[in-house]
Amino acid sequence: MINENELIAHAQSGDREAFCELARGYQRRIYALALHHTRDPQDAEDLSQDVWLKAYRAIDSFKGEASFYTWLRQITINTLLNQQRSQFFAWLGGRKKREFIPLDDIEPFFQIEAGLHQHLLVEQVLQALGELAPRERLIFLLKHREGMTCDEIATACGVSAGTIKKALFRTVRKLREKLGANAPADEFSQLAIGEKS
Amino acid sequence: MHYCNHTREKINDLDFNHPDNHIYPSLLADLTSCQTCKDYYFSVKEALIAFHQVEQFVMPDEAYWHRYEAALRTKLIQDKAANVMSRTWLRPGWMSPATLALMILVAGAWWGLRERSEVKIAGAKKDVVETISPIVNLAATDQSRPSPNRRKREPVKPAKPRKDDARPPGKKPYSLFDPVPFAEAAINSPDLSPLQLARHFEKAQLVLRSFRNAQASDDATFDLGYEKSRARLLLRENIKFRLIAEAKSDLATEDVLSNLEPLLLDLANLSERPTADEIQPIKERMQKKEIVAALQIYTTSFASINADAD
Repeated sequence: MINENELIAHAQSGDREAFCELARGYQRRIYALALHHTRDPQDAEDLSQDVWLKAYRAIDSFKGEASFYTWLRQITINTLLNQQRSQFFAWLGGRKKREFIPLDDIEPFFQIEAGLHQHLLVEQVLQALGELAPRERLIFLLKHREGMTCDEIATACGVSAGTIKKALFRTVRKLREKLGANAPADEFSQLAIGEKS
Repeated sequence: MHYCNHTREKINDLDFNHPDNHIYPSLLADLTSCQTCKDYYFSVKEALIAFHQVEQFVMPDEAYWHRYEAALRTKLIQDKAANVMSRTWLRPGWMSPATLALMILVAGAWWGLRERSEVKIAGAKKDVVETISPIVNLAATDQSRPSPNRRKREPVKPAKPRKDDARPPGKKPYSLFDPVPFAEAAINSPDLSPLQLARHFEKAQLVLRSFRNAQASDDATFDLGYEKSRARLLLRENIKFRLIAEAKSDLATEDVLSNLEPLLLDLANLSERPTADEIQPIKERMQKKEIVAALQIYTTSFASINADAD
């Protein structure tokens, strides 16, 4: 059994199969991150494969100072940020509001035993994610899916930690109102703008 | 003294996946003393649980990953081939004495054939002017492809031939699909930078993706007005680039552009509200040619060439 460092060394010497083996270990995580961000299986596949292509080209620059996944995640973050920075995408976003994935499109990916509750839950969560701005969505995913700290996200996205905290606060509030509305929204809105402490 | 704002900040900083977080002890004290903050905590927790539950439902099954790996492997192979070609010419170490001698021979041959090729290009210029419009027309009215219940399309009409082809500069600009500026641009501006091509491929890729992901409206038709208009603009660029690539004998680029052109033509000639029957054959051809993946590779290849050159 070859360990990860050996696989990386082989990949750096041009062994494509070693790189594929490395990819096999992380492809689900990268795909899942892209899927939550794009909310479209086809786009998620395109984006995640784009990440692997970039990683393949840049594998020589991996020095082992951080873990391989940290390095890979930074490529993913850059790819997702570049996608949303693209003027074309921005223009497209302004033209037509992107809709969340219809249930029928997700159906093939479901386990058969999944019930109505799961379907509704998926729809609700994807819709809630869809209502976030792309950058907010990415920050939320990095925090609550990848378990990164605010400082790490700030470094990865090239903004201040304060900006990340504010974005996270807004994002969690939106999702909470959509997904976990236990308390009256008005009360929290007042809290959010500092009218009550 | 309890401050709800501070408590909410702590909740937002909390990593729910790691219960040994150092914030927990002080947070526990805050939550037990304030019902509002406690409700807020449970509300956030509930939202995050829902989010994490969804992940396992939307992930594809095992069979998908075999296909994913195969597609990735193919892309890596194609990418390596494209990279080797591009990087070999940009790396300074390749110039050995043998290569230098070969280059001198090639330069000599080129010098000898120079006059001949100039004559050829001059002849091609005339031919291209005559053939641009038929290319657009023939493809736009191509009825040979299987497409049941196809609506009557509105073919892209090239501009009517003008009597004053030799128009002086400063006059009214040529219109879209005007055959004369096309050919002139193709022949008179033979420089085709990698950046131009990368941008073109990226735009085409985005239009094709947008087309592929289009959803039917309530009346079972598709609103593809945007894709159609973009395809028309891109078609114009595509023809120009293809002609330049042809003139430069850049076979690889010409091949990609030739594959892209029929798809752009089909998009440009879609009816105002196409049905699924109309767009399905185009989608099938896109899938069969794997054009989006190919464009993706070429975009990054050309972009990297440009970055290296810079």
